[in-house]
Amino acid sequence: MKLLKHSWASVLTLALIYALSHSIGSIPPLGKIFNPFTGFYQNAAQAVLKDQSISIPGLKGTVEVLYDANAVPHIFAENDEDLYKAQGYVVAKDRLWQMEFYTLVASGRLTEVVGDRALEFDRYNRRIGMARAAKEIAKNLEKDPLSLSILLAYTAGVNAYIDQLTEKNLPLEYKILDYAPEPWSPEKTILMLMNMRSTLNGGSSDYRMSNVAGTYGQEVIEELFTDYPTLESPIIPSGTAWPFTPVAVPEAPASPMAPQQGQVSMNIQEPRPEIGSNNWAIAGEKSATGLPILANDPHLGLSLPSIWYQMQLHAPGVNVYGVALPGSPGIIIGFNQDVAWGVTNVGSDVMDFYQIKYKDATKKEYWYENAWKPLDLHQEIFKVKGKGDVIDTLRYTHHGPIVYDQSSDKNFNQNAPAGHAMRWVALESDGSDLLAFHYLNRAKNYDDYRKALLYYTAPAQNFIFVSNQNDISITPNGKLPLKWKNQGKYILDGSLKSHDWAGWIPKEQNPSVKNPPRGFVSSANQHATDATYPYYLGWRFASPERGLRINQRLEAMQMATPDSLRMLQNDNFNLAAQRILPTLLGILNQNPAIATRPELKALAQWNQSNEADAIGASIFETWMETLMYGIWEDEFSPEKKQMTYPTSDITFYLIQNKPTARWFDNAETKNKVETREEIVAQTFQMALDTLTKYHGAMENWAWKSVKKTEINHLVPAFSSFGRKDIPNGGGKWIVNATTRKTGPSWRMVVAVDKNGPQGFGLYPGGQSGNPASPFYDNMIDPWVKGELNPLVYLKTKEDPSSKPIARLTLTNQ
Amino acid sequence: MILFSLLVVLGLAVSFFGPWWSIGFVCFILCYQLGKSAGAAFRLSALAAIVVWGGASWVKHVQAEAPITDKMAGLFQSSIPALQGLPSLGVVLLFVVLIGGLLGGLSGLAGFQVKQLFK
Repeated sequence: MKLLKHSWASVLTLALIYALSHSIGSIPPLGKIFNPFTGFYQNAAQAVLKDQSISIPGLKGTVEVLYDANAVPHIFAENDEDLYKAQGYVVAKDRLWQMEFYTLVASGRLTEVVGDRALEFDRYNRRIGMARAAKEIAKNLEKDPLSLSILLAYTAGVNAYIDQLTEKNLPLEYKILDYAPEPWSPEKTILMLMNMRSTLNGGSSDYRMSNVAGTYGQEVIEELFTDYPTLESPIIPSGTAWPFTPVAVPEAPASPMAPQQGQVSMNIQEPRPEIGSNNWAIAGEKSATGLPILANDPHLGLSLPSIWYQMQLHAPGVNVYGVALPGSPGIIIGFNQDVAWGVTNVGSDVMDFYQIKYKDATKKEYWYENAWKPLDLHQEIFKVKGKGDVIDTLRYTHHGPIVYDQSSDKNFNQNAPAGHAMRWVALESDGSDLLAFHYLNRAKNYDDYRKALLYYTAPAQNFIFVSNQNDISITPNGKLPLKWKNQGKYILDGSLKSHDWAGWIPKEQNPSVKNPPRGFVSSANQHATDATYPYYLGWRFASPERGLRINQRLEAMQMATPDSLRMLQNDNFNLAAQRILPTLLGILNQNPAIATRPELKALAQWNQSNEADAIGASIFETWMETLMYGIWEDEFSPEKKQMTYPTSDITFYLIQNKPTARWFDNAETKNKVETREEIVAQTFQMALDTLTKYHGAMENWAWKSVKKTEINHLVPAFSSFGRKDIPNGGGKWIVNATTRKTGPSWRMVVAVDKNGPQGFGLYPGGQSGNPASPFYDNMIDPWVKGELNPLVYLKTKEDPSSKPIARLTLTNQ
Repeated sequence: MILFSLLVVLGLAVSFFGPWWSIGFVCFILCYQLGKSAGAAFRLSALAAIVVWGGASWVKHVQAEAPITDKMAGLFQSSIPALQGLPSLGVVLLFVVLIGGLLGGLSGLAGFQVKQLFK
């Protein structure tokens, strides 16, 4: 009794300490977090940049890092190995949590830190095989001495930072989610790149198209799902000669798709049209200086910390400035003394699905070329935080992993449900994307650029290039499958050799153009080429408006400066509205019930530009969604029928050229045939109803309030770490491609010159990944206004323009 | 008063180096040695921990170059409606006072109790 009386407080204290040291469910370890000596207030103290000297084992010389006024590190090393080591250290110092987070996503290990709410997401990411491919790539690169030395140096730098961490200075997210960083490794760098492959190449509408073809037949495909839009301005200008003799293209088999076994239903996202990008470059003849200027703005999901990290890397033989991906060595988009380059996504069809016939329900063999072939089985273990392990089996065919088994209730095969194996370029394990960037960072001229591109595998990018020798060029580049026409537009037949990917387009035959007569090159994820290119790349690319608008403006540009290109990056003109609105307004003006509506007047008076305050933009954009829904939902519902809508290009074409097409009728209304005029009026009313419901009176319909751009933290639950209601213009088919959650993730303009480049740029975030740093989101406000920061390109570390706010010295002592 | 001053000074000193609960360790030892009653041990220890944690939090809040107090308070305000009306510094200090006070107070009380056990 005495014992109990005098020890209960001790027991309670220990229980309290234990409970508040660990996260429980989604509650962080409150004791650690709120203690001002170990918790989040320590991250505020860590956020202050100050002069430091750090020892990194194995460094060959001394590395100086100067942080400029925007907290951009300028690294000066005595050799490449030290340079990459320092890059790893410096990036980890600002972005460690983020870079490890990406690797957890790609390897399907999020459950280890956030628990079972991530299980399905993890399961999908494991099934598509990124972790296994990353392992294989890392292993292959061990045989390539240069790639290996880059990876190992970068890894050592990151680990030097991790080794210094204590409980106090652990990045905030680790504290809140209650886990600690693992050592970095070359494989993790590859996983980071896998994440980009997945973001940019990870969509498929094959099964949706199979459903369309199975339901409506090839005639409707040819009418509504054409291989080339009615309006287009391809990346390689029409008329460009192909300077090579093409290799033989495999012959198309009798049927382009697997025989249908009922409706196919899969939970794979469609290619994401809003994940696109712009880049362009003008030749000297169009610029004020007589030398080229280049612009690039990759559009990605906007997040905090940002996907990009600005830095300058200087060592003997290299002096490059630009943005890096946290976790990956080198500069991805940038410029050096002589050249500048940038990338946009090609978006060709590089993810195909094959229907697999299993021998029986054990799913150990599948049918291929009239024989049973064994599947490779791999066991995957998910460690779920707060729960036990979950086990899944991955099955690999010679095409690639089985991503999905058709649910048995929809399947006609009595033995086992049909599986769907994926052939995906992201799982290709040859080449070295790293070396492509290593050599681009050091390129001096056009020939160096062309050589660097040959190392690149995926995700295929439109590499744009300028040099101070007055060359401009663009090359849709990467490892591209050699396909028969429309191969992979539908689900392929996994039992036929003729449906396999037969080979690859020779890399030197990837489309490319150098110094075209029009004086500029550009890309906006549209078709890479017109129909004269001898190879099939895909049937659906980004909507043509951004590309058309960019090319219109570049065509007219003369005596351009970097500011002219900056203004084009911020162009909000709505080419879709210019194209279709006159026709639609003409129809509505015939409708007495609508013709006098103030909303219609507002739309008619709108200047067809998606400015932040434009009410007309809100009406138009909302209406385009209800219009597409009104015309196509009955026949091609993505949810109810697992199909996909025809493009807006085809829709506009029908409205203007086939006013009596049967598609305007709403198939769900019996005994009534709707006309184009009725659908136009109904969907206009639907748009107004939607706007009124969510935003009230018309005066509140400013485009920024309807679009509601937001930049969230990578952990969605950390909502207060993000920014909401960002007041800018733009839109999905606007050059300024800002949507609710995506947009220009880095804007850069570079004028090359014999005396060194002039660069401008920023991204919607900040250099520091620390939410307690003033450099966490300091570039968002200027980004909203469309401004660019001058980029500080130092020729030497003694350069008087450096004005560093802090110096970091790395030595091996 | 001597006990309270010692709790604050030593509690602050160990907090700079030790784990997050180290002020509890100081409260335990000091109340074991100098505690007069269970109530006083609890009250003085809780108050000392509140002074140390609350004071340090306030200093860090003032020194912070970015609105981290708002961000952290927001994490809790978004899931706990009762906190939504409070200013963010108030939310943070509420947690600091509750956790620090409870840890300090219980540890002090525990120290005092354990001494009784060995009497």
